[in-house]
Amino acid sequence: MRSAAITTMTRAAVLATFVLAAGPISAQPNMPVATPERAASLTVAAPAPAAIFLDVWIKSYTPPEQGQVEAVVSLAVGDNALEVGRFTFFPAGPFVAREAREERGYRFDASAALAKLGRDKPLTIRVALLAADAAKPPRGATLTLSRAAFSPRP
Amino acid sequence: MSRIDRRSLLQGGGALALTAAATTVHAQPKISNKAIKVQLSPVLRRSVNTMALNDPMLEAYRKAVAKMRTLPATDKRSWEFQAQIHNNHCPHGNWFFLPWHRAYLLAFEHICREFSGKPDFALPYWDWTGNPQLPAAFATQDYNGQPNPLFDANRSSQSVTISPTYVGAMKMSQIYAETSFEVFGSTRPSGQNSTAASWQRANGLKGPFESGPHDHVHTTINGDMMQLISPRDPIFWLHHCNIDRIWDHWNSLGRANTSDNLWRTFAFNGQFFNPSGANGTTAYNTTIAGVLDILSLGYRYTLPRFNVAVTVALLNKFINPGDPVERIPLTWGAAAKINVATVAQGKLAPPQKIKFTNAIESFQRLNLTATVAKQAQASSRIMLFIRNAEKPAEGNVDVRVFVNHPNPTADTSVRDRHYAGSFTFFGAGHDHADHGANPSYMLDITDTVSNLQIAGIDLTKDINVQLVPVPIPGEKTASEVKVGSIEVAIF
Repeated sequence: MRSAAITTMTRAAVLATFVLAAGPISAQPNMPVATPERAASLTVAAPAPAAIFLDVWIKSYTPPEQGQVEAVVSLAVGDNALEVGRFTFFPAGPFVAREAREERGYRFDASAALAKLGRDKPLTIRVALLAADAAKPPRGATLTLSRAAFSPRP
Repeated sequence: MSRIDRRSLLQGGGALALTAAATTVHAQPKISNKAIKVQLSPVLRRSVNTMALNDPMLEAYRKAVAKMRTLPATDKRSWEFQAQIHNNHCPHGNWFFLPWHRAYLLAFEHICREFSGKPDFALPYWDWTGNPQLPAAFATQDYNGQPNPLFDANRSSQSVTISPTYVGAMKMSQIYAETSFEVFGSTRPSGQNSTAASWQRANGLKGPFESGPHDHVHTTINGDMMQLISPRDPIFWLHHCNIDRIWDHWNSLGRANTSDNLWRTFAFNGQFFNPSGANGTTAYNTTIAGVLDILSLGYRYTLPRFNVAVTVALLNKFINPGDPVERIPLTWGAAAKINVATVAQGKLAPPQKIKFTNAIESFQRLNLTATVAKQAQASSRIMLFIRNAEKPAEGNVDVRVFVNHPNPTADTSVRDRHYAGSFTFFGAGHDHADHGANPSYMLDITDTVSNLQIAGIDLTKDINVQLVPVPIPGEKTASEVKVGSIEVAIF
């Protein structure tokens, strides 16, 4: 009986450890670098009730070898992702922010997405790089997310 | 400002229109037989979409650009120096973006005025929502057998089309719907705590207007437009003129700029230069507060407006059915179910076009009080008079009025942007109908004309008015409609 109880407790401990290691069910691993093959993603804390804007800061950008890219910004819970906006890079050259004040920031209205995804859990910000011209694959383009946050109306 | 709804002015059950008609027409109000010309001062910046290749403004712009290109880069009026101003000073990604570019364009416009020899030169704007293709005037290497000064060979393509995802009507309606300046106009630089010049290019957050249409047009045109040296491309100035127009329109919708003094008192010093003398310049320094009223800067994007009280006062003083004002032939539209041919015959004058002039005569001649004169100078109305409309002997119709519609029919929606209002015949077709004098109607088409201009439809040469009779459900349809005359008066 005792060894069976210990076995059960051990199994439970192992399972709990596994669950804790995996983290909350809705969290996604942060991948701040976007390439044409893979979107960047950041987990952001659940927004405050008054928050309607999504602010995103970019730490660095490398343009593609040819053509242009546009960055598509989405909010997601699990596989349910909704676009909140997109942008292109102007000026178009590469940049690297050496400190926070050099980062490029973008603000998007996220109210519609938040209404559908909910405000009671962390959300994932995804930034995907898409070719602006389908005839020119955007090889070599990268974007590094620095941070993201929700903000209320100024 | 109180406004009389145009439909109530016309219909209000018909009674208001007839009352107005009784006031203005049956009482024989007068139109001065001196052509009332409206001198637009400030100048009117117009859409390049509506300009022929040889439009005087485009010709002037070509001449100015060609001249600027010949000057050495050290000359502050030169093409290259002007481009370097942007390269060295332009703020992006913060709330200085809009006002800085407004001041920048203003000084540039002054230089163009000087070099073109056209004192009323007004920078055209490229309304990429109305026409997302690169304007033809900029896309050809040659013009009239000479190198085209507006051409830029560095563009990725001369047949560029801007994506509606970024500049389409739906996107623009979302942008206009934003009420906060620090979203519409981008945010303050992060951490700004003074008006020190060092904040001018500090990063804030780009709002959807700057990061969307603005940036996307730059990157889609490509070439010089991709970088901060973008003013080397002559389309840059028309692009930013549209940006400025959109800001002005956003304000006209009742959206307020920020009142924060970190913005309003911020100064742009030593960055812009107005032409002065034969070969010189003077510095144009300004705070942001100094560039918030475009009328005081000497330009506008829309027709000016009177308030209604002034309009009525002028109408009462000056309307005279016997003295036409700028009365030029009117073009008739077709109706689907009514024999419009009848309308064009009989008592009507031959089909005519109404010509719009934007010259204003001195208001002192109208003997207005100082207060009214000041109001009058700030606005004007375009009024349409439909005189001596003969009530149908049998039945009735609703007559819809359109402005510059290419092909209106009875099915054309009243939500169509060309729709200006309608009138009907009160009591027509009924035994108790008034068999007195034929009614006349007055219709304010200022809003329609203004909205069409905003949509990039040029009305500065001709305003065409179409009358489309439409059956009224439940009533017998009249077989013909006759009107005595149609006039447009501009005050």
